[in-house]
Amino acid sequence: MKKAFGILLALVLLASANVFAEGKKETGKNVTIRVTTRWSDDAPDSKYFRDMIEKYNSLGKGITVVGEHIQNEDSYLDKLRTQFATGTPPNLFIEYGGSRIVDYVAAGALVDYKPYLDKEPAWRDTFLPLWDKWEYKQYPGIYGIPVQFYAVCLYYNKAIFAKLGLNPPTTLDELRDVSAKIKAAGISPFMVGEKDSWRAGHLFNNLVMKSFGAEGVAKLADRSLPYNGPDVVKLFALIKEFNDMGYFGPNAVGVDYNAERTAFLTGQSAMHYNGSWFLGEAASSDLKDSIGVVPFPSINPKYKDSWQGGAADAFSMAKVKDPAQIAASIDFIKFITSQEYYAGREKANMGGAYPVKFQSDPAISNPVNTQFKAAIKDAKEYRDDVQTYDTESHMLETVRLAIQGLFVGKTPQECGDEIVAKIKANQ
Amino acid sequence: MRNRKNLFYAIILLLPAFGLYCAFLLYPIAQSVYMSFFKWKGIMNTPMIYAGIDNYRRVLIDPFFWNSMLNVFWFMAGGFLVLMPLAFGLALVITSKLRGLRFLKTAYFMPVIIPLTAVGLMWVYILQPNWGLFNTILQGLGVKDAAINWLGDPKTAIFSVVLVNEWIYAGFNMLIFAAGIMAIPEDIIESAIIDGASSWQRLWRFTIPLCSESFKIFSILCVTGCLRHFDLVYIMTRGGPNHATEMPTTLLYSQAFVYRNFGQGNAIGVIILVCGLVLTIILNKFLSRED
Repeated sequence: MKKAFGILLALVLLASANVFAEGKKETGKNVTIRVTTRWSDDAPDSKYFRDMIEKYNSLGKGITVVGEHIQNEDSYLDKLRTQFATGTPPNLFIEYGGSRIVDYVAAGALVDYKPYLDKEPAWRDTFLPLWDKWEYKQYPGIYGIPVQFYAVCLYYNKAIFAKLGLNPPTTLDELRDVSAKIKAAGISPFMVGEKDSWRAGHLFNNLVMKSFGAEGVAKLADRSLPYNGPDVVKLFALIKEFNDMGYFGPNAVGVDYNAERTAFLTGQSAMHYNGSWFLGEAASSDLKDSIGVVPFPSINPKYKDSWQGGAADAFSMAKVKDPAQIAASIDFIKFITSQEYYAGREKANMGGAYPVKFQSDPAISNPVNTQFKAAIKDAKEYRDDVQTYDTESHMLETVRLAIQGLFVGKTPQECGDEIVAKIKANQ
Repeated sequence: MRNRKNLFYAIILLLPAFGLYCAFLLYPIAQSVYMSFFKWKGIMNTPMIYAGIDNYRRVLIDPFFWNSMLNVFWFMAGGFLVLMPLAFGLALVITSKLRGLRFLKTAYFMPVIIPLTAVGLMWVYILQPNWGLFNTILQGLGVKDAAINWLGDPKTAIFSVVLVNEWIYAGFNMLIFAAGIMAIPEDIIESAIIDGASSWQRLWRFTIPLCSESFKIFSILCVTGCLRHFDLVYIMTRGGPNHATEMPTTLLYSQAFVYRNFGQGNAIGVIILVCGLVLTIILNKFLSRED
């Protein structure tokens, strides 16, 4: 009896190790695909995309697109990584290419778009040549379809500047000067939402581009420009200096990105650096007639036309077993990169810049968008987040978290040393 | 024959529970231990590369890991120095003959039944340095210097989270102590009153010693709970600012899901498990007594 009981328990143990059944397969003609993005907010661009999902679902193609949107980047990436780990990735997902998806590419977990693009050159040729972040030397192919073009610029409150008799800053020294005067007037020069660590991460990107240009980004990636060397530590020192002077607002690590945007759009802060995805929201805000847009202030005159920007978000496709889902995903991607889609998107955003060639409607313009186009007209080179071009996928998080330390008492050298220590620990 | 039949039915009735126990506890632990000896990027169907004890070595030389163990110590300190007297005090209140006991019981237990995510977010906004309720009250009372960045200052962040944790779990532990107090035979307390013992003497010499089992249960739950604490820290600070409130569990999560070092994440998990087992055994030996 005891022996039988023991055998039975062992069988239960083995059976319980395989409790999880496979997911339900699609049957019949209808195909459901899951599309995940960060576009859950009320920005015109995000709402437009969600509306277009509904429109696509009503086209009667037998394809149902289920949108799953999480705006907070950390939460979004947590969910995405969990999905890949458990073998249940979404069919299409937004990511930013480069080192951020290299692990997925290396694992063969992503679909190569190149055959589909080569089969339809008319579709392929609608895109601007912005493939670099989704092409890898060691993994031939294209692993993302860019759907966002952006550039980080400096938005400023014209009314505050006019009241204080200030001009928008064009250099770092001018930025220091206007920040001091704005602070003296009792207004917060910036309100940086460093609770979301990408905010100072983007600031660092701009400081790198304006100091060293695109070649500096490459040097950081191949470590010939070390993160704890004097040149980069000087940039960390700049961030710390501005925070210590109170130019980023009180308690930046207690403020998130939403509060930062709100502070600018309600006139509580005078300046706000952000990407061009902010244009739609700015143009539809109460402050729209008082928002000015200029390039991020230059540091080294040689690199004043170097910008953080380029192709940002792209849809990558997870390699799933069901070919019907892959075909449906391609069809949906074509829908959201079509001329009609972008025409509607331009209307929803009242302007904007996009990674495709399409006939912009001259009737659609707003002061914010017009200023943005004027600001970027002399841009010579764009680079996305500096660590996107790194070979190690942890670098984006590592650098952002280290920079966050500058806001809570760490020295610039400690910040650089922390990054280098993390690089060594991950080798 | 009858015994065999009873045994048979007992086995049948136990099998589902045992199956669940294996599926959701033993198997994941075994898998975690196994994976801790491999490097894996956390993408399904990609190969795991054998790494021996390298993952453990990396964890043990990581200064952030030792900082996280220090934070566990702070949680334990908060548990024994703040939560235990608080929960015991509340238990004394609800087992007394005061008026409004039903309201008090509900009020003290309320934080336990509110979802932890909601409670964590609520406290994040209460402790917001610029417009949060707590600092607004402090400023209104004229104590502006005390209105600091509770969750954004590395010196205060962990203690802020610890105190919020005690607030949340006071009600739950109150029930543990209340059960112990209610189990004390009334005639013992009556005898003490007849013998002239004061309230303090009754508490110190009778109630507390006779509640030793409750203290033991609390101690074990506190120690093991502090070691594996994750949700509140993750909701309130995500281990920040700049790793100041990192716990072993948040480090585990970061290693696995942010840095994609699943092997190292599992190594941290195994270390937590071993520490929990060792501490439980030590506590049991220390707190056990001859009946």
